[in-house]
Amino acid sequence: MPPEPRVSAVAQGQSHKPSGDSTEIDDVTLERAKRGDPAARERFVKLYEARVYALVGRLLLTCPSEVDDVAQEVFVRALGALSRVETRGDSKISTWLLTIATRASIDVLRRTARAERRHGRAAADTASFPDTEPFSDMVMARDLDTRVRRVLAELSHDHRAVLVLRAYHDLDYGEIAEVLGIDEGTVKSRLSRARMALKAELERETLRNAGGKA
Amino acid sequence: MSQVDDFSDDERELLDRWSAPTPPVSFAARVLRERRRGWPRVRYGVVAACLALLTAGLLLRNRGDLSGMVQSNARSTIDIGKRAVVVAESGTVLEYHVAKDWRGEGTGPVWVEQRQGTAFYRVERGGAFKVHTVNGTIEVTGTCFTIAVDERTGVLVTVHEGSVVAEHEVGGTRESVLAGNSVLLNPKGVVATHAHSASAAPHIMHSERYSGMADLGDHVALMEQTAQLREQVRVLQNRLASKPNSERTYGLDQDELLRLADNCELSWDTPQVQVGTSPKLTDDDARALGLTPEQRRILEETMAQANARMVGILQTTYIAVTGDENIAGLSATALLSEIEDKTSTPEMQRIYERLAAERAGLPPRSPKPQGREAQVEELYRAYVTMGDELQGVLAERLGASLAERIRDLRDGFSSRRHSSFGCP
Repeated sequence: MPPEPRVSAVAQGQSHKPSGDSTEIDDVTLERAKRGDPAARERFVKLYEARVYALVGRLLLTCPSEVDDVAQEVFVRALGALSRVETRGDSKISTWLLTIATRASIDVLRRTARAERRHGRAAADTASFPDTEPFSDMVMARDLDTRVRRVLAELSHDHRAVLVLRAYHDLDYGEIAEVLGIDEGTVKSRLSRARMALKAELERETLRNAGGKA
Repeated sequence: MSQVDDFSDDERELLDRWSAPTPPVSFAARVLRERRRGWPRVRYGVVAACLALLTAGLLLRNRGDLSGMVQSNARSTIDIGKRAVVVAESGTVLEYHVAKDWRGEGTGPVWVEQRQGTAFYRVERGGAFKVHTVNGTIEVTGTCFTIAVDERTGVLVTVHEGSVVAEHEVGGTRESVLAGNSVLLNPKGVVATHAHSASAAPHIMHSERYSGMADLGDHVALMEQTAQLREQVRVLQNRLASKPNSERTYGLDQDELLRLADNCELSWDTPQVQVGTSPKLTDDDARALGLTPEQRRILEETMAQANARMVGILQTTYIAVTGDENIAGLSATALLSEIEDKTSTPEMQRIYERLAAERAGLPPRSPKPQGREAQVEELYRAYVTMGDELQGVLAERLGASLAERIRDLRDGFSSRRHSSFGCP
């Protein structure tokens, strides 16, 4: 019996409610994709691209071109390793793919951090959030939206990864622990801290609403 | 099922505000193309061997150069390889040789011998380009110039753009000639350099020193004028070809623009805006576009100019709206955040309503704003039209086709945006 699908339209960042189906590739298509069938591979990429793109985008918080590069690299790696993947029990292709995407994103973040340490923080605006946030995103974000991004961006990438995987991709503690290579206790503590930051922003928003616009 | 308690409704609402980027339509196709490049290693050897054979074949086939001889009875235009155009006047005699590159195209070093007559040269940057004359050699590194060979007075070199180095045949005296200057190579050596700007040219060409070359001077001025007109025509043609249809913007047809206007929504693509730095093209993108180093330089320079213009508008608006002139260290994001804090939602709704109608070609739906609202509207107008304007400038500088490919590379500059504050 196939595992209950839990990853939903959150990939588009719109909803956190499970959609109920079509979130995992079916076994027949997967087998065909493993054998290199072009149509099946295309189906594989199209099925998961939004989730991977959303995850990489939320973890990197950087310009779209870098998100695109990393997401592409994730799929190239995944397709290269697809024939060796075995799905057992509740294990899902999406979790495997999100693992690759998370680790690839964190690798990029660590490389960036190392480069910043080596060269000193760049004088330009591009070194870190919010300055790396595309200006165009900012136009849409406005007020609360922007502040939410900023709050979450101020978390370390390890904490942010836990929150993103839980809140937007609905992974449970065990899966998050597996993806990040940490124990479940660490997952819980990181998630707790991330939620505290959210709560603080909620309280500030409530105060703003009470006080009116400046 | 999940072991974790669900987030509270408030937390969910907050998290929902954090929209994620979505992949462009072409993403899957690109991934699969990229994947195909990663063939199994066992095939690499075969592919490498084939490539080596192909390269060797190409090199053998393309060995040698392109050459030609011109004896002009009337004014004629000659392409010398891929990098140069020569307008040779009647009576001009010249011979040229252009080294082929690996593709068999004439982009390599150029050697020209101009024996007599007057010829105007336009040379793009690239490898060596030398013009040999009876009295000396003119070495070029990307420029426009005219060479007039006169048996009596010598060889007059007039530089219109860039610079050349003139080396005399006897003794090797070298003279660097900058734009707006002329040099005469007579049998005795390099005579002089003089300014030949529009006002100075008649004086120089008709001076006693250059007596006998007055006709040449007029001729040079005429050719210079012709070249300028040609350049203007080229720019206008490019502009015409790249001009966005007034009824549509990137990826949006008129029906979609009308729908957006009905909903007071804006949809646009834009390059990233950054304070203190300029956007750079990645090596992968440059390769994907097949850009030459010069094209890449022009692209990055144009994007930097667009970025600087937008930053300027942003900073000016910030100062006007907030009254705070201390903008040092403020990012684009921070500037806009402050501007928005000072702008009410009804104002933003009216701005969006007017701009969406404007883009759909509809009459304004509310009166022209004043004060702060007008300033913020100008900022947004500049922002939503930035992509179209950038493509227009790129088309002028790089050609319409390449400008379009640059914008299409990622389905629009940086990414597509869609936004609304609701209708008033």
